Amino acid sequence: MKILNRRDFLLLLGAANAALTVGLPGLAFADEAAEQKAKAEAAVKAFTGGKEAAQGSLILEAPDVAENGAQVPVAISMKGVKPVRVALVVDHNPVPTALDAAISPKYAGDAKIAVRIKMKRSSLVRAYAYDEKGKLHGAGKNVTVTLGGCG
Amino acid sequence: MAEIGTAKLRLPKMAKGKSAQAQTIIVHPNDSGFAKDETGAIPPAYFIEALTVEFEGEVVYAMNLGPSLSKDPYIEFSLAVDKPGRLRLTWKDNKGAVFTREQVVEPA
Repeated sequence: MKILNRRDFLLLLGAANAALTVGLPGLAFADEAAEQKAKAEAAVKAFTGGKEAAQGSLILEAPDVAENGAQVPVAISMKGVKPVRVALVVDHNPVPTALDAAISPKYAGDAKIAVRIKMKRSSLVRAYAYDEKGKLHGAGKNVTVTLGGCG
Repeated sequence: MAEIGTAKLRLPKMAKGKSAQAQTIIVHPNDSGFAKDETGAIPPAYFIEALTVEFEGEVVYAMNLGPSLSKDPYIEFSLAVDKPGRLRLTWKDNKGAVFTREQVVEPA
């Protein structure tokens, strides 16, 4: 049987150490990501009731790349149909639901809503809407944030 | 620096029955309760959690807002009215403070 020399032993120690320091935060990060995903899915389910959303009629406007995560412009509108309730979900934000609005079509015109949101980091942004007939619509867009701004 | 709770409201020139975008900026720190400030401290959550838009006493929008809205929240919404009337905005922060702003809309 080979006896470990000093060099091998140090290498082994180094590897074990690296596994510890890299491995543990890695695990914590995975937990955090899973937790965040669950939060986002819960936010979506609270609005959609788990139903499948029709694509195409709901228009979500957001930049591909947001240089300043403190002020990301997002707009929600519909074509062809009128929304009576809309929601905006930012998957990676600590509180994913940014907006949940009831709309009374009588004076709402196009019922287009635009806001500026803070984004902690790059994330999927999702919009949902119920039209006057109760049909659920959805749209999503990935927004890359170069400077996070949960300030 | 404008006072917390005041708001800028910009109404576009409106044609009767035609949709136009109204813009408002509410002066508020809108702290999410998750982010560090310049000193490294995390200020507690302090944000606008609801905004209601009424025209002549009828609710047009009833919005629940999360802490994700930017500092001094900017909110734009469309309106289409066929008669002159009062537009009333009411907003509330998570500490319970309620503010209102009224403006007359006169579609041409």
